[in-house]
Amino acid sequence: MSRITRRGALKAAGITLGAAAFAKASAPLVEFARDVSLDEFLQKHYRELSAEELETVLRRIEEETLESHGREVHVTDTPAQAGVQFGYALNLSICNGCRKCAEACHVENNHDRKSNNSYIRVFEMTNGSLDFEHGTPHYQNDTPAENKYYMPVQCQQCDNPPCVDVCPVQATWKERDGIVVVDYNWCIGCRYCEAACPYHARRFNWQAPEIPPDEVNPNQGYLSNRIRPKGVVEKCTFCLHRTRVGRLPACLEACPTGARVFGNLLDPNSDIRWVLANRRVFVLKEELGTKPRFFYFFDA
Amino acid sequence: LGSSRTTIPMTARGGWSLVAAVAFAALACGRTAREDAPPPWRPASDPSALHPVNIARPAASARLATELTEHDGAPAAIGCPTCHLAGTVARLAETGATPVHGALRLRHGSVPCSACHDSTDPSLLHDASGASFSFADSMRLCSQCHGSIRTAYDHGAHGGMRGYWDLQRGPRTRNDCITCHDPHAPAYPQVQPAKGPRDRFAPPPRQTPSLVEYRFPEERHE
Repeated sequence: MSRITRRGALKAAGITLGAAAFAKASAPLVEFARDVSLDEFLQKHYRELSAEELETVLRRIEEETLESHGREVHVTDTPAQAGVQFGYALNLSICNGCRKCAEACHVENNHDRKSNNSYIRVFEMTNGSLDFEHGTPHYQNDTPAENKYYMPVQCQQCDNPPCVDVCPVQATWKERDGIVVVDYNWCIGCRYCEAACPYHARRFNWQAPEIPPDEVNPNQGYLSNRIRPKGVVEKCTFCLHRTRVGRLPACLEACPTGARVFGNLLDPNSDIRWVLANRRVFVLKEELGTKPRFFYFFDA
Repeated sequence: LGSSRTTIPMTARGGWSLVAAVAFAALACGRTAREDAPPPWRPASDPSALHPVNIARPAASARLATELTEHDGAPAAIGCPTCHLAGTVARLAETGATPVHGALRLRHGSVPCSACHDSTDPSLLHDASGASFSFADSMRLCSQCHGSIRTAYDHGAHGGMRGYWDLQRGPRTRNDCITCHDPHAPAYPQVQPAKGPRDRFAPPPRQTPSLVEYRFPEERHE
């Protein structure tokens, strides 16, 4: 006949406490597993995926998007084309600060509706000054206001990108056509890149974007506008799911004034090359040596 | 190899960029093996084979929105030749026909009507040389004074567009001048901007009520 000894009771209590502590300690893993499928957890870095693996990943993302956002989407991965180097220019003389570009970015890139996120931040600046400390992106007045000009700022697709240098896991890199991209499935969300970017061009997903099913843009790219998971960094990609098939970026198409000029820097007859050759263009924070591919100019 | 070592200063940075270059080359090879790499982009050998750039054109006959209404209550628009017979294009101030011209604002410097409208045929425009042409070709008229803007327009640095940057793959549609500018009052009007993003790191000023809920709590401000 067994008797409850002090030793036995202490053992039982110890085991119970231990099991409870273990369950509590592993709770985040269970949570994590709910957000991330095993396939996603085991997925390789984008640049190490074989063609078949990439295909599987794209189809899996489509399935997951259907499940999470209730919309059938098509996720593609169009590779960069040799002979193409993307460049962007913006005519500050005619930008009227209407924020249509930021709005188009919001819709095109499947941004979270509640935060009204966008890769473009339009600053209201005082004439004669380039000092962002005295500009504001929060203007609500009718535009253009007296003695003001407007400066949209987005990713400058630097040729010497500090955000890429600081990434501890190489989840972000510069593509052959000049676009700095993020593998959202490889990003660990440390936000070093966000801190390193002198243009404040990167955004962090505090939560997975919430978008009504009928507002989800179904034309998605793996490296660009597919719906990002929670806890990763994202950025402007010059809409590479559009531009790599020859189309203009969404922000340019939305611009009512035509302040935006986009094209192939290697095409001597392109609009962007004409601007570079015939206008006094400048880049933001040139002294930092980031070598932006985004140029600003005023009409001659 | 030995000689290249002596000529290229192998600083730490140089060494790393060499490693990076090799690594990048290896990755690039991996990529080309993975995808059917698209053929390199080349300028079109035959420019006529490119897709067109379609410029929006106004209707060949201009109709003026008026303050009058049709019998069913719909706003009435009247074609210029309805009233302006040959030779009757005059300064609006002299006509006094305000219900008809009420919607027409004249804010185009001191340019008189007859500078652009043909005085013999109100369905036509004419340029400084006297040559007459249809309303559909109105850009020709704008360009004779606003030449530098036309130059910028021709190179994509003015005026909205949609479609393809690469005309080898698709067409482009462009606005013409009067898509955006009222020829009688061409200054682009002030607009109400679209709603801005709610930024967690640059709290909007207090006086912006719609954005207040996204501000950090007071103590985080300091």
